[in-house]
Amino acid sequence: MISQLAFASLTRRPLRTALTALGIAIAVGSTVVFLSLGEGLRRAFDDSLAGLGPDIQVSFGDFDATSLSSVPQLPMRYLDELDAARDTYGIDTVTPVLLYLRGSLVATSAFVFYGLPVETDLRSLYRDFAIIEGRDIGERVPEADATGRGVPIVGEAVVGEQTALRSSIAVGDVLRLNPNAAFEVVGVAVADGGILDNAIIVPIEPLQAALGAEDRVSFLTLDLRDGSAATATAERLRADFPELGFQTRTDIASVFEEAVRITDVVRLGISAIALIVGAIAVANTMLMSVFERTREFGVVRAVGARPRFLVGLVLLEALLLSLVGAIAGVALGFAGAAAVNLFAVDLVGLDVAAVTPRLVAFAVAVAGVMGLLSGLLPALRAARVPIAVAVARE
Amino acid sequence: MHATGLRKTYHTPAGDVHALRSFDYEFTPGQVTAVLGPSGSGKSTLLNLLAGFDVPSSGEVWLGDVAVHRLPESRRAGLRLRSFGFVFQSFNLVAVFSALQNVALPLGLAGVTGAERDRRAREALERVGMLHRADHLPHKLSGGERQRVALARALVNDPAVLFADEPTGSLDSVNGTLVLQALERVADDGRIVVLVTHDAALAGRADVRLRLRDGSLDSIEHGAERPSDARPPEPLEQDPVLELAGR
Repeated sequence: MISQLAFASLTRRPLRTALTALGIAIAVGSTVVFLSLGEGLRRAFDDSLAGLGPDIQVSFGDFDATSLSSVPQLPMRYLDELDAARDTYGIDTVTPVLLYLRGSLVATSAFVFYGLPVETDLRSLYRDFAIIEGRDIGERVPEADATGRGVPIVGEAVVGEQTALRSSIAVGDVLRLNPNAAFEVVGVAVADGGILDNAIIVPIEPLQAALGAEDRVSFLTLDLRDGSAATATAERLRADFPELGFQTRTDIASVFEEAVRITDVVRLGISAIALIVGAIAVANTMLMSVFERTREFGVVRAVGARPRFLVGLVLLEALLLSLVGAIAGVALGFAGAAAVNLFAVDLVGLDVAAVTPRLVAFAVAVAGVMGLLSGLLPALRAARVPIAVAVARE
Repeated sequence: MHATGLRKTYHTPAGDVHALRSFDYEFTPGQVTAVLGPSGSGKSTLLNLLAGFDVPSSGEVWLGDVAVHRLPESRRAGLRLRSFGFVFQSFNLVAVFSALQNVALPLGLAGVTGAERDRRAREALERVGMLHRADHLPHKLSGGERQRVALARALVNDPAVLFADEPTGSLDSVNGTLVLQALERVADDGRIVVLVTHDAALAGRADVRLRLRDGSLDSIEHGAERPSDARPPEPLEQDPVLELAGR
């Protein structure tokens, strides 16, 4: 009976109901789009992490969200020490990695250089890695030739597909790192949306030399003979090398998750403004509805409804209104996220927005709570309608 | 049902308004009791207090051994649902509900569900000759039809007391007569019918007439002036509204 009355009341003024639902839809839709940015980053990172071969990553000191962009700090001697202790810790291979971000205000001029030993099999590190044009990097004697325009070519490079597309880089081009070093592109690779899709892979030694960091790397990666022992092995390594940080994939994910969560709060804060506006729209509609239906509420109470029936009725109407708006809002969110990704793939090579099931659930839940809260005041007002006054009202 | 020392005073910024100063009376089942009086005499206030729409400033209202005046709102709602029925001058049907849904409303509130609710609502509509209009919204019905639906709604939970506030005020004479006859048959069925009106002709047909003046019971007159032939005029003789007595 209560649901029949709620539905009939909402459909009595279809335009007003539709406009209010549209307001909620826009609020929920913008929230979904804002929050989908974080979900997209999580998904891209998870994809990369899933393809990451090393079981443990070694950093100098604790690993945090700034470690990836900092200058190399880990002394190379740890490479030798860990390599010598492979049997002790069940390590299969130790690989040094030098990460260098050449930033720019223009996204298409920003590059991520990923220095690795030339003998590294990238397919063992990144499951989906594949050369789609040219060949992998190899040893090359430094030379200064005409294509470097006076800058010595110190090594070869394989460029991730997204970077190649974004910056129009092709096999045979020369990339100048700084006035002292350039790399010749010998191949283009894909890594299924992972970090390498947006990186330039170069031999580590010339990169170290070019950066003046011959004795340091960004981190070491450890492949274990038994990958399932990563957590226990990391514990032992932490005890034996207290000055170093040892992160398993789970640890790395948690550091990234922490960083994304901070941005979640910011985006949620922005979304809250839209949600508050949506809530005010619902409250306004419900207050108008309660005012217009004073006599109806009086009659319903006169024939025996308790005040809580009217509270439930108005809350149900507000909830229905919000949920209809939420469903439309989620659809808008999908469209908005797709539009964002159209631009983002061109700009940074990543699907930065993703509408995940948990985001949909969150948006619908927020809309539901919003509906209930915004319907509360009108509901209480409806319950307080004096019957004698209401039934006599024209 | 009886009322003792019933008073109602409204406190307004302009001062206290004594809407009902004193009312004592015991209503008799099986009788139509008309409450008469000019505007401002306290008729509507009395009905509101008797029906549990409002609480008295002092005094008592009893339905059997239930002290209506002492009940909290939730229990007064239960009393209105199961023991009272209401017919209003302006019908007061729920605009978004069909005739059937309006009649089913008290049943739904009483917890009757599904097919049973539908069956009983249809029966009530049939008794007032409105089953053929069951799916119509109130604005598609004439005044007389709306009042008959309202009557079906008032009686669907088999109440002990039926309150009617100017029930013929918005009807033409033919429909007014039909509704009045229906109320008489409801009383004949052993219920209390309290009819608030300022229509002397209408009140003349009641078994008892209570005249209010300035918020007090001024006089009590007994004796109905019902026409010897209570049947409605042709061509409405066979209108099913008369079948209410057959419940």
